[in-house]
Amino acid sequence: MKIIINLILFTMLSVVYAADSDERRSKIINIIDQELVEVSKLSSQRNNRDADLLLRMAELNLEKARLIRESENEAYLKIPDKKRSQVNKKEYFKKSSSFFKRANQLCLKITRSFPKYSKMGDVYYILGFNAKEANKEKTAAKFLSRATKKAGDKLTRVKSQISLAEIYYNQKKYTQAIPLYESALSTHKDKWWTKDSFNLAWCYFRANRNSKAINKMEEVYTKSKDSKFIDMRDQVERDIGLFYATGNRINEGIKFYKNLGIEFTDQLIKISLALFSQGKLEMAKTVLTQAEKYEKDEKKLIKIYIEKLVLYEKFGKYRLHLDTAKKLTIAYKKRLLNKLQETSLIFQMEKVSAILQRQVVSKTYKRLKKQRKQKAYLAIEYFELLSQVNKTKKEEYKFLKAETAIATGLYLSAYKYYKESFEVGRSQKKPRFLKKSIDGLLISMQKLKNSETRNIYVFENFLKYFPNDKNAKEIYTRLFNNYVALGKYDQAVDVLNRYAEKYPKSNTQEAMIAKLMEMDRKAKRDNNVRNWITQIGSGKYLVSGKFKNKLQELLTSMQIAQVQNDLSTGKKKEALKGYFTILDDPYATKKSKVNAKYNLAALFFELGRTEESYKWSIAAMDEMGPKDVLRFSSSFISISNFLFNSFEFKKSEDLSFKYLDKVCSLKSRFKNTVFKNGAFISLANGDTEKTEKFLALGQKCRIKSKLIEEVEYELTREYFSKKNWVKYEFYAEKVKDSRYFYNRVIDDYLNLVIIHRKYDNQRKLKELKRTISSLYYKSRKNNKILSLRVLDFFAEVQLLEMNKILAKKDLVKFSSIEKFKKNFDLKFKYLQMLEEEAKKVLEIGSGKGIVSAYKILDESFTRFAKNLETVEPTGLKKEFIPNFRKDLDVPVKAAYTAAKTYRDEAKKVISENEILNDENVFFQKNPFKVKFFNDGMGILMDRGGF
Amino acid sequence: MFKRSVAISLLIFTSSSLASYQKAKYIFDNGKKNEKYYKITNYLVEGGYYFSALPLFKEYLGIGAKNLDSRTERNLSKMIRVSGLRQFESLPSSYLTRSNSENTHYILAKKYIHAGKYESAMGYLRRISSNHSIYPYAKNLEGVTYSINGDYAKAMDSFRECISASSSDLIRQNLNRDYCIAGLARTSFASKKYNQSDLLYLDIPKSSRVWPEILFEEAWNSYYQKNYNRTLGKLVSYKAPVFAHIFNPEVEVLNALTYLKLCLYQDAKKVSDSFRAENWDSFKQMSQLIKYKKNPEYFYELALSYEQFNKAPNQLLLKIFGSITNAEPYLDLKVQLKKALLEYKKVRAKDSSRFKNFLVKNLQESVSSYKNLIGFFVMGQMRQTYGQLYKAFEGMSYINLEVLAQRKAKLYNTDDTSRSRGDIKYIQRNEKQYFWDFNGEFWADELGDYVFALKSEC
Repeated sequence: MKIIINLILFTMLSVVYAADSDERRSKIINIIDQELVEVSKLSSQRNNRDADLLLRMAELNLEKARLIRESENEAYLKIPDKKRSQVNKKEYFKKSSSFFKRANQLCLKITRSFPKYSKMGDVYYILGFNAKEANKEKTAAKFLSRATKKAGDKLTRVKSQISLAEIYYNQKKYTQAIPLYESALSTHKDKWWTKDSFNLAWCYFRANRNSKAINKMEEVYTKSKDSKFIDMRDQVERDIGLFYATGNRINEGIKFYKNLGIEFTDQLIKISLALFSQGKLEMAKTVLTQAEKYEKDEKKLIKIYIEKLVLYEKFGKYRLHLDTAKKLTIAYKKRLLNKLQETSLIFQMEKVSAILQRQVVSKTYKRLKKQRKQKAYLAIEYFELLSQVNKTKKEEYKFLKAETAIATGLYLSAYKYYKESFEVGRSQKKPRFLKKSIDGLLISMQKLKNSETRNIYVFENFLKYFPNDKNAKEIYTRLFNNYVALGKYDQAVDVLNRYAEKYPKSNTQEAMIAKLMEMDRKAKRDNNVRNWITQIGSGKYLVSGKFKNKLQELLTSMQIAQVQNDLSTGKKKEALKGYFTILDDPYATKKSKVNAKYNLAALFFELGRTEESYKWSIAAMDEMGPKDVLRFSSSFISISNFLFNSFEFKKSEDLSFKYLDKVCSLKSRFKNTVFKNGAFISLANGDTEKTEKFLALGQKCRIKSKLIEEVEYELTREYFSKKNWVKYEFYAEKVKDSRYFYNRVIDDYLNLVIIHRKYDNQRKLKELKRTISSLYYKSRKNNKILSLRVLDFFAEVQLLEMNKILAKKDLVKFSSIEKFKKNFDLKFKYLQMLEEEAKKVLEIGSGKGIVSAYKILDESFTRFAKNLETVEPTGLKKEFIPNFRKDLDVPVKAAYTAAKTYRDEAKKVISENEILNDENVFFQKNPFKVKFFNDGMGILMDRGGF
Repeated sequence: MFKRSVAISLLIFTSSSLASYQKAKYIFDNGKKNEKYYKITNYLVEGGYYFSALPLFKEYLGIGAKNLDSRTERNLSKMIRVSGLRQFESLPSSYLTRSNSENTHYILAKKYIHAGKYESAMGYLRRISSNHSIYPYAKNLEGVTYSINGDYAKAMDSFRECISASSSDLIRQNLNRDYCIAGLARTSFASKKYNQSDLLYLDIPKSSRVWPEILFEEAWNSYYQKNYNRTLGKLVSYKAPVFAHIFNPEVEVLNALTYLKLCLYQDAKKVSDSFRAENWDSFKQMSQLIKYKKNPEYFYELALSYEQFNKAPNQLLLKIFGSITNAEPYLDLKVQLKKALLEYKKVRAKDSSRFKNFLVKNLQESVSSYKNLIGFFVMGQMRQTYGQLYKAFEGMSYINLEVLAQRKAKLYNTDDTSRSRGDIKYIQRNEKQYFWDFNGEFWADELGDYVFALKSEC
């Protein structure tokens, strides 16, 4: 008794038409609600464990959702456009969405709770359908695919297959859609069969199975005649032509359309237009190409070409567009185009060429150089075609060709096209682009490798057609230069003359003349040069005074160049003559004369001629600036050395002084060398006056202070030898404060002490001694070398101190026994003081002082020991004397030992340091002691000692 | 001393009933243990103390190892006749196989049929001889078994044999005969011989107790004959007060279904809606009762309460109890219970003795078992009715859905609501039927013969 209810759900819905649709729809929804209540009751009665009932509920929800969606859609579409865009669409379809969702939930519940449900196909179908409605194509495809596999009954399988096929169709997965359509449509033939088969035919077509596509279309067409099926004839008529065309079955297409009384070419054009309007440009192109193949009539072909032009333009297929335009241009030349077609052709070509030209100059293609060039070539071709079709604007198109080329960097082509444009322009009465063309020529020329011929063409034409242009002045110059570059002297002179006439006050003439004179110079046309000088002098050309001088220099340099040439080839005699000629030439410039003097000095130096070498060096340096002198430093120093070596001290010294004086303010390492050489040469000459001049110049020229101090020290010594005591003391004073030579001057101060002692100038002496002492300690402190004389001097001073202490010691006498200890301690204290002082003497390092100090120590300790051995203090009873002696035995021995130690040390020091001192004799043991006599005290002896 | 006194008492009791009672008492007091059951049971049955013997007999069947002797077999037949088959149906087959009686064969056959073991059942049924009193019933059972197995020809033969064997005027045998006639009709129906079935149903007299339920089957038969007006006519008979005790939910389902077949959707819906409105709540209450009440005594008390006070938890149950308490098995069990109670009174009147006390206990047990049987029967019937109601509601829902679907289909297409009804030309009749105009009144002799005259709107 179970009633199986199968819904004929979806196909029925579309029958609900608009007129009474609202009322009917609400009635149906009411019934659905009742059905839902009934099924819900049944389901709850079975504890919701009946998958059939859940599925039925899902179906009802889906049905309701679709009905509500229909009414929502209608209402939504009734909203005015402006307002509609502001409406929240989701909110608007909220109600239907909730039922779709409910249906989905129920189906998903079935899939979870009843995985082996026999009608799972229906469940998946609903899920798939819902997903499809919600535009979730991927999900829809998944569920529908499952539905086709699980479908128990045929209807569900067919519906699922069709729905899935539609998804694939929409996703352009035609090969996947085909088997689904085929399977579904082979067994199921409802009224929608024609519509679905129509889709299948398109799938075949898209999958390049044209034959099948055509067959299916034909079948659809035949079936559409039957009222049982949806009539798809209009669509078939619209599309089958495309299939025939694409499948290369034109004849069948013609037959098909002929039967319907439709002209095939027109139909194909119509198809292509339809395809075109749908944006299916590729197909439209194929159709037109087929039409073109089929059509033999030239006039009809033009129609096709015109359509193709439009198509390719939209398509952006400019290469093909151009090819078609070329064909139409040929047809135009044959006068086959009507006015409208002509206009269309021109419009198309202008449009595309403009697009291309814009692209060429756009940023987009700036880096895509290859594409940019291709586009430029296309544009150029278009402009060329346009110049052929629309002759009234020939000049403009030619010019645009050139403009495109230059924008792309095709400069050579640009030059060529500008020239074409220029030529067309100048043949016209009222050229519009003549100036622009010549300007373009100028620009393109700049970008090209320099070509004088091209330049001359452009410049001459420029000056011919635009003589008063603001650039004409510059063009003259450039034209002149090009003639010069080509060595066309006469044409260049002609340009100069034209220029001078047009611009009499322009000093550019000077540059032009200079270039021409250079040409003369190179060609050794001295007469021409003199000629120019004459013409300039007559005022034909405007040149500056400076230039006039330069002209003279040119003459000089021409002469010098000859002399230099002689010199470099070893013709020294000729060179000397040449230099003397320059010196005698009234036109010769100062610079060339200086140059000549220097070269003469160098030449005479090479020839070993001191007098002339000195003379021309001085003469050259007199006229040279410091920098030039510095530039030739090595030469001048060499010449100076050469003079010194040739015993020409005075000349050498003069040259050095001159050189130093010249380069004084400049930085140069040569300055120090020249200063030292010059100063020492003057010292060697005994020329203290000159030396003092060098010192003065040295100070001025910031010569190194060490060098100056050295010269000052040497000058001090020189004044000592000359016994010029005033200058001697003056320079000694200077050196005293020097940085490097203050230690050396102590000797001089000792000399000054001797000198001043003669005059018994005590104040001066005291001052000098203080200076000596100060210099001595400063030198010691800084480890400076001191002379023996100085050391001895200071040791002597110290020895005086020792002798004083010794005297004091000797003054202490052992009196009474009570005072013995006190006296003993005092004597001993003096001995210790002597040792301290002796140490100071040793530190001075004077050999004489050291020996003397040891002598004093030896004598003091020996004397002390002997004194103790013999002393008999007063108040000491005789019986105590032996014990007293015994008590002193130890100090006595110690004193002797000390004396001996000092003696031994003295000997060792004398031996090791090879000290020669007249006190050495004291330490000799041999009976025939040899005494040393100091400098000035010795006598010559023969071998026998006599 | 004791033996001597028994012998004296045996001489004294000469009346058979009394003698049997005394003999049984003597054996109870003096008999050997191994022969006690055998002798006491036989003496009690022979003395007419069936219900006192009932527990003992069941026990004897259980403990004895040998087949029953002829005396016991004879007494068992008597026992079944008086106490009914149901008391023995619940016994294990192994007990019953000890008996070679045709009664126990019949019981065993029934048990095997319930268990789906038709071959075994048929084996026992064939062993029942034609001269045995249970033979007509056995033939009925045989016919049913053949019919279940799809062997309609043999089924028809069995039913015919049943009809001829049930020739006695006994009420029970008349009833059996009518069931067998119905069996013939049902078998024809099952073999899709609706016209033959139709004629066979008409052979059941309206006076028969079977007839009310047969009316429904006739309605189905007409339905299958696509004689929907007659189906409606048959079904309308159930509205007669005389059938107030009949409750069959399927009657309403068939009614609605028939309207549906005639595309009279509003009528179909009306039937369905009124059925649901009338019964749904009570049905829910009933479902609770079925679900939670398992004790037979409860159902016995419910039935008793209905009979005594015409009371039930709701209107639906009132109708169901009306139907149950008029059912043949219920009536049988009630008669048997009354007999048991009478015997109980009789024994209670006896002098006090150990044997008397023993019998009183047996009788109490018997009475209790009858109450249980009645309780189980009521419970079973209620569950069966519940199942029918469940299906009926489902059916009604499906009918409603179909009605809605048809309405919706019309809305999706065209909506023609014009209708005319009651036209005599749509009535199909056979030679055994007479046409009666139904004027809203029921006449006893017209029942089952009403025919509607509605035009199909399909």
